[in-house]
Amino acid sequence: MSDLGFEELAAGNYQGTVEKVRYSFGTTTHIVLTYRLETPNGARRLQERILIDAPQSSVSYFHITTGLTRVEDILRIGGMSLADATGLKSLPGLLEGIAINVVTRNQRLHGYNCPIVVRVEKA
Amino acid sequence: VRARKPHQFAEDPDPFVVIGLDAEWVFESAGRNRILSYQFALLNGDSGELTTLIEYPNNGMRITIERGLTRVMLKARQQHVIAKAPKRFIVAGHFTRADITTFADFGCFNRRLGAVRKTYATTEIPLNLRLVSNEGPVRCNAVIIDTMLLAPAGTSLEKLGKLLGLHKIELPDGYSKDRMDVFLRDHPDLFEQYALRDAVIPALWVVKTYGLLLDRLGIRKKVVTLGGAAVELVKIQAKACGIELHEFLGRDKKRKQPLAHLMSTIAIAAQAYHGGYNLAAALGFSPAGKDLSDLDIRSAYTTALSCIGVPNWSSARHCVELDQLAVSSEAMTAALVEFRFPDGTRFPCLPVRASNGRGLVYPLEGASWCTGPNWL
Repeated sequence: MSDLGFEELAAGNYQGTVEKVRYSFGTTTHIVLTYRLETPNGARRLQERILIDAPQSSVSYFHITTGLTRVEDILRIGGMSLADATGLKSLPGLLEGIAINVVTRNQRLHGYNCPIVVRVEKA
Repeated sequence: VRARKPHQFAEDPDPFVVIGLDAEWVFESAGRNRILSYQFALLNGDSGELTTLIEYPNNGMRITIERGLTRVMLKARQQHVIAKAPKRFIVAGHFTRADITTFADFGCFNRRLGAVRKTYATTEIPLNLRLVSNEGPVRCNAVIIDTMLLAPAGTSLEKLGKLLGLHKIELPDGYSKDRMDVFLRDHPDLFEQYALRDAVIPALWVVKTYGLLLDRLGIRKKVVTLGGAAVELVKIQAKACGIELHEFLGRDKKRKQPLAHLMSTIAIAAQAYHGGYNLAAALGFSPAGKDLSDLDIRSAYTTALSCIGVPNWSSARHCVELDQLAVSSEAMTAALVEFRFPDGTRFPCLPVRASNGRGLVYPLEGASWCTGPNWL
């Protein structure tokens, strides 16, 4: 642990669950996925903020595929598909609690090894 | 001020966070200063809790603004001042032109900053930063504010501190601002107190100012200047009085520009805008033993402006008849006139812009851009 409470997370494959799903609304819509990971040092949370909706005129429009793919991956692990989701309001209920494996790596950012999610796999 | 939650599953709103910023440095060589320290003061405006951080660069290596903000956010979370890194916050400094330019990555974000009254502030789009947290990288928007713009012109940081009940720490005898490195070497603890105080004051001032603007005037917008607050107040008052401001100002609501047929007349009106005129007429040095009076009427501008009715923009037109132009209450008029005052006029009153930006002069004869009341 660094002097300011930053905890590094070794790159690897961690058992976990989707703990919380929230949205950030604006011109574009981001989904904020909070994963709870079981690490050798105890439970640890990782957060991902991905674009899932944007106007076609937006330069970020094509990025929504990344967000939808991640959501689809988690739903598939839980035995569902995107077709089961009837809208944004239904997604938190479908995603939260699904057990997954989270593959992480570290990105060197401002002098820290910052953990990021690479992909999710079946637990 | 917490935003309302727009959706059942929307993220929890962020606390109102202000990060005070300051840096200390010493002159090293022409065009180069050596940074001694960066100071940050993170204030949670909702809870009033504060955390401070001083960063000493290794061998004078400058840090990036993102690293500095990351570290103060980490410390604030460690001390439970904030629960998570906010996605939108304010970075405040006093004379940001001196402090924000000390970051290593200033060249990467300087084009996002606007130059306002010879200092820097974000006037349009906030800085988009990527900070580090235990949960992974966090994208944040930082609004840069200079407390010089949120205080009467020329107000020093020391004075702001006094108003907040935080007195600026004085340098001991024998030390000067030019050689802060000597002060740091001899009194590291006092240096830290001195330096951190300069970061705490801007943060507190911003929170106090926005609190006052909200409580006293109902202004929610995080304005960058006090002038911006005045504009917001006009908007609020206009709304309360049922005045459609674009219509009132002769502007196209959709295009947010003056109405097409007003373009040429507005250009003339703008030329005729010179500000107020008051004088204490005397030539040369003040006469010994004689009182000179310079009358300054309180609220003269606002009182005069309140006499202006709602302009009928649709009837705006060009004309050259003096009897139609030389009016005060019948119409708003402005023109370029050639004039000559009678010989012996002591106080000519038509303004003429002097060359080379020397301000206004009032000659006996010339050409003046002026308004109807000038000719009465």
